[in-house]
Amino acid sequence: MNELTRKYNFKKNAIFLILVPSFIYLIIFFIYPIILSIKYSFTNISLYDISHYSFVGFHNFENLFSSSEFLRSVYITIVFLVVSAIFGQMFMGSIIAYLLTLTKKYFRLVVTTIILIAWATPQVTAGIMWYSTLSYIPGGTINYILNHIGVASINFLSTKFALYSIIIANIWIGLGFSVLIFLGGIQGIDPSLIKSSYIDGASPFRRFFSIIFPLLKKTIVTDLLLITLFTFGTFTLIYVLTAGGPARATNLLTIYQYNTAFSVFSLGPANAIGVIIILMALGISLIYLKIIQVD
Amino acid sequence: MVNVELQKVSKSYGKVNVLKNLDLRIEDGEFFVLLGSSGSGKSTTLNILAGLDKLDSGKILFDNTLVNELSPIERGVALVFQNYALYPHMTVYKNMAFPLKMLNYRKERIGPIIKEVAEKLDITALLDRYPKELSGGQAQRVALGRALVRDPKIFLLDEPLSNLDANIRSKIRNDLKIMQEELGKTFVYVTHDQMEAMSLGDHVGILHNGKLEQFGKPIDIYKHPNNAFVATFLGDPEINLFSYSWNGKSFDGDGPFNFNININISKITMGIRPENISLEKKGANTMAGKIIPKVSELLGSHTLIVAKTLAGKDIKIITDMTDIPIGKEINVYANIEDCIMFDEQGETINI
Repeated sequence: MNELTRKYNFKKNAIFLILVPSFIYLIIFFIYPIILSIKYSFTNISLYDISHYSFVGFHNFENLFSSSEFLRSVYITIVFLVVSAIFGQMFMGSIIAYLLTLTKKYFRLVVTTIILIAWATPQVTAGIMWYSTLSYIPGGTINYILNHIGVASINFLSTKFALYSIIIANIWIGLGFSVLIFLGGIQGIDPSLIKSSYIDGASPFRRFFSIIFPLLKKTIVTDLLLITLFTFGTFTLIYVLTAGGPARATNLLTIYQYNTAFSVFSLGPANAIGVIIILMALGISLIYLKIIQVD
Repeated sequence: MVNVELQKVSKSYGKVNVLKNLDLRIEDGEFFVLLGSSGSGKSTTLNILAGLDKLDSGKILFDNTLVNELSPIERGVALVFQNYALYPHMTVYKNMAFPLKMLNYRKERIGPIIKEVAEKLDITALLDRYPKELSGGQAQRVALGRALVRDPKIFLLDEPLSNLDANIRSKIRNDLKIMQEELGKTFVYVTHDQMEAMSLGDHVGILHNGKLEQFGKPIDIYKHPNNAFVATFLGDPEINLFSYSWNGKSFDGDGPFNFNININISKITMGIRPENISLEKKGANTMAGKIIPKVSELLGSHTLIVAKTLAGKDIKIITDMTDIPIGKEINVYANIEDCIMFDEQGETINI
């Protein structure tokens, strides 16, 4: 074996060696917990005594799917996802990004930064902030303003309005991320295509929906996948703001899972909910890829 | 059917003055070529004509009507881009239908128009394809088709041939010329390629650093350039330039010939085109000199000789002869009438 191939083989081995720690890290902290979670979802493990449990087959899943509370939670989660992530963050984010590209550079920079601050805000802080904005008793910022202009206070966190409130809070917190991604996407479009749409006489509305939005396919998929996972995982903001209430009106799957695990100490069903969340996220991601057809 | 006039048009981006008081007149139904190197402001001129860019000062007149504030669609211009700018997510048919849809034409009206244009351009078979499935020449024709469907008054073309392979470029160039003659519309064609300018243009404008250096028929500009820049820009291989100064009896310099002209400037630049130097004496009033050939390239019908003058300056000659002795002094001849004289500022001196 000559010098060169030996060096090359050493390099190959060295790369493998360098990667070993990160593989170990991945296995211990990501792969193993997921497998463990799937395993526990088939057991009756409880926080009262985590050393004694037995396998119960699909019992947890059967119970969940026959529970109206769980099905309602799935429904709330899907409404929350579609309205706050797909329409609120992705759709509005792309439109705001497009409008920003039409403005002057410095204005764009300032607005983007302001929108991004929301995204960078710690979720607990954001939750408290939204609570103090929307609060009914004592009156929050919005009700204070409403009272001043002579309108009666509205309970934004009541059973009737709480879902809308958490949707708006989630749009607020995630919008900057989508705007940022779409700004990059729009700037990546061949400028002559946009010029061409001016020549062809497209109105700003048609230019966006007929030319720019369809050309953003890849950006849309990237953005949708990421914000869907963020939104499925949203817990802190909503827990601080409503804690799933009132009367479980904002009982997202993550909050339902948390309560199952730490209020009633049923780790088995809680893990089953976790598995269902993962499967739902996977399923929805596949639907995006199927609908948008990126080549 | 429109003539186009630019009056004292200025445009700057930030601190860069791209166009400086540009005046230009394009006749109705002519093929006008705007020639310039990159950065000369030719694309900016095109964008301003199209209505994509606002000008800082000056006037744009279409048929003596001010169009400064009108949108591209109101001006009735079509623009063909260098990279064709076909919408990649639409089929050829939809690409061509797009401008009509924007004008709120009904489907029943769009179909026949596209069919007619597609037949004219011979792209009927391509209507269901996507832009990525087209060759360069096909994409070019589709881009023209998209411009044609709206029946615009003026066609603006931004270096439409530069993305094409060399072998189809001349064919498409001919097609363009024929098409323009058939349509009888005003074409404004922007290019950096002097060959395209010479072969296509009814009139050519040469743009340099935002200023129009010369305007006229290609052959007039070629034969009578206003200055050394224009003389160098037109012609391939480019014109030979030599510096000369008056030694009391005649003009003497690094060119192959000494000559005597009646002029009261002591330092001049003499320009002579490669095809105006011959290796054989013919006619009267001929200047004679010597060169040393370095390389000869056979270019089919003629030969290009790259040589040095006795003063060591490069000189290029085009000749019909093929047997060129390399490295040996040979005689060359030229007529003083074929030379163009420039003063120290590079402006042409009329003799």
